[in-house]
Amino acid sequence: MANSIPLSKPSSNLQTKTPNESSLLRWICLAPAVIYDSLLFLLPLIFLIWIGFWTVDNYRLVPGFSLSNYIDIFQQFFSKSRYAYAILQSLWVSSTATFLTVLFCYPFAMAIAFVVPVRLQRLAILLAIAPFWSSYILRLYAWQTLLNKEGLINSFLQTLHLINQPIEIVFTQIGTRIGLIHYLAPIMILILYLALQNVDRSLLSAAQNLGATRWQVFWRVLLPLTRPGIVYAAVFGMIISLGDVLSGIILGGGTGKSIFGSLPLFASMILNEYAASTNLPRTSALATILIVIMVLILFAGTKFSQSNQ
Amino acid sequence: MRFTSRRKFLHYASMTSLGLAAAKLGGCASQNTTSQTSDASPSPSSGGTIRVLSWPGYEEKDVVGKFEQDTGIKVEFKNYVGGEQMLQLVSQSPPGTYDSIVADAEYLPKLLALNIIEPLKKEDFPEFSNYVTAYQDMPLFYDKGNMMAIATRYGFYGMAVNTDEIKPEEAADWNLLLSPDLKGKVSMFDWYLPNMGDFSLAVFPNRENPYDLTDAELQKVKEWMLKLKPNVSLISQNFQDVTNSFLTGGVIAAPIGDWLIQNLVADGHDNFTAVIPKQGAIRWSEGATIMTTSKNKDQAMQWIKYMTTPEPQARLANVKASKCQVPNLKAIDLMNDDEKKLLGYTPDAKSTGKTIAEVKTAMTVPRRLPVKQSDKVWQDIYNEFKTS
Repeated sequence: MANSIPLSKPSSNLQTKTPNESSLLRWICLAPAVIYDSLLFLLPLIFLIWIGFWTVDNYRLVPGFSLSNYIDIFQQFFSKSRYAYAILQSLWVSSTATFLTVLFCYPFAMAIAFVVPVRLQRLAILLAIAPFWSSYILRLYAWQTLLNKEGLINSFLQTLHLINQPIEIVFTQIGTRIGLIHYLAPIMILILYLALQNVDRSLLSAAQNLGATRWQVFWRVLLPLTRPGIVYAAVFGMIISLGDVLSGIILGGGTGKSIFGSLPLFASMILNEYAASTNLPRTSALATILIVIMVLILFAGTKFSQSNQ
Repeated sequence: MRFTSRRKFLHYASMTSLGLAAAKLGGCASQNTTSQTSDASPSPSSGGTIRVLSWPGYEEKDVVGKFEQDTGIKVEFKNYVGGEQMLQLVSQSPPGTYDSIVADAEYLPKLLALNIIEPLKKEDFPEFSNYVTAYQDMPLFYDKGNMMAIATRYGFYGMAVNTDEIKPEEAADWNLLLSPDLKGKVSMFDWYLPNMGDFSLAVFPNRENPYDLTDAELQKVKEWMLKLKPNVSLISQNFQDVTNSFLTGGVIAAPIGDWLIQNLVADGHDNFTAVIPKQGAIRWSEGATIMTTSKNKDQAMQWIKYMTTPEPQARLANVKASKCQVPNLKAIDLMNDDEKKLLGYTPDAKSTGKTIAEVKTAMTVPRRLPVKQSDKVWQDIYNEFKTS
């Protein structure tokens, strides 16, 4: 009788469920990740958002629920502090840095996945992520030494008579992008390598057997198959770039020049506002706005990677 | 077999933990013994720990080391950059967290309003008579006749320049910063208060209080700042970034004055100097206070007295964080010739009988807080300048 129930009334859930999926062990295995994320990510995030509704009275935090920080910030979006300009600068610098990093890292990851012998691929990946072993801030100062007006690159170009005047890179958003690209490249290479590794090689061979040129195989088969990986790499790149302050200050000069003018990045602005006023609720509200932008990018990226899949 | 290994592992792990715990306890015990020995020695103090909130510099070993060695009192420092940060740290810490604050003079009224500092007695400081006159009777350190802080150091926010590119006499005018030749060649320390004070003097020269502006006058200062912006390539709160900008960023002028640029000169870069422009410049001043909620007032007072004496004053003037002037004139005798030259304790060529430092002190006015507008109004203008 008990056996006859699922046969007479089939349930799609019961049909697809394996014993492991319904076991308690599955939830126990998930627990560390849930606890870790809750304690170290979710709770601090909720606290940050919550503080954004507090106020400051006589330099003391006043818990409560007030929209005054947001009202003041949005009133200054296009005047006074002009946060919108800083957000625009951040989006421009982050998107271009991310685009360039993907452009640079995709062939690099392809070379590791398809050209480097399998036994050496782990070593190649290890070398690609080697910059992570050194301090980010030290790397930025090293770039500053290389890129400044009297630095190695300008001196070299001048010695070769390729330029008459030193190129201005440091304290511009080009400098910021160089710092960001160096920071993002190892992450991107790793994500793109994994995406390329998961591509079914027989599909590439099939395309070639059907007469596709190498370029057509790349453009019409490989690239579409790795699109989710590219999108995820780009989303990671954007989010990390939007939150980074060091490159924008050390190489970008805090108010570096771009096509939009000499504007600070939004993340630098948040840091400087905190340092100048130490108004934690207001800074939390600004940080929440940045997080909302990041979530929107993540959402758009996820949608884009899933479309036409 | 696996079970046995696990048991063995647990056994060894437990033994190791016990061993480590025992070693740690032993360490504590030996530390206590050292402490007792120290207490038993004929030290003028019973030891203990005090916590001081200050700008960077006071914590350097050359400055505080001798005090800790002689008295057995350990001084823990919490550093801040900018008066707002200091106020926030004080306000959000439980009472008694800090025993002393070394505060910027202009922020003392705010500390008084919070009722957290108590008056000092001049007679407790034998070195007070050796202080430069300007810092014996500095009004910002007094409240209703009571001395609320004693000066520890001060410095100037004049114009720092690369002399290979700009002659010092050219730098004697703040309007140089607006020159089209300086496009992308100016850096700034990121704090609205000193910068806007200097810029106020650029527009309204030699005012006694450049922070006392009408709304219309403040608007003119803002317009001057907006003209300056295209020339600015770096705005940073990091001292190192600002000084590095002169070495690597092609920066040749900055309204940062002596206190930052002297680090480069001390490192052998003789092509940098700082000038007080003819319109005047801002002078910063720090003073040590005792907190009403301190549970270690005697020890804190001992440290403040120590900081007013010549030797630590001489070392404080030359800390790695930033160079400065010190109010105790006896400290100058303890500096070597290079230090005296660096800090301007050498005769001024144009003013007979005066040192360069004395002339600069006379040409500068103390940094204050905005008078007719709120701090936030000034900060908003500064933010607008940064995003312009």
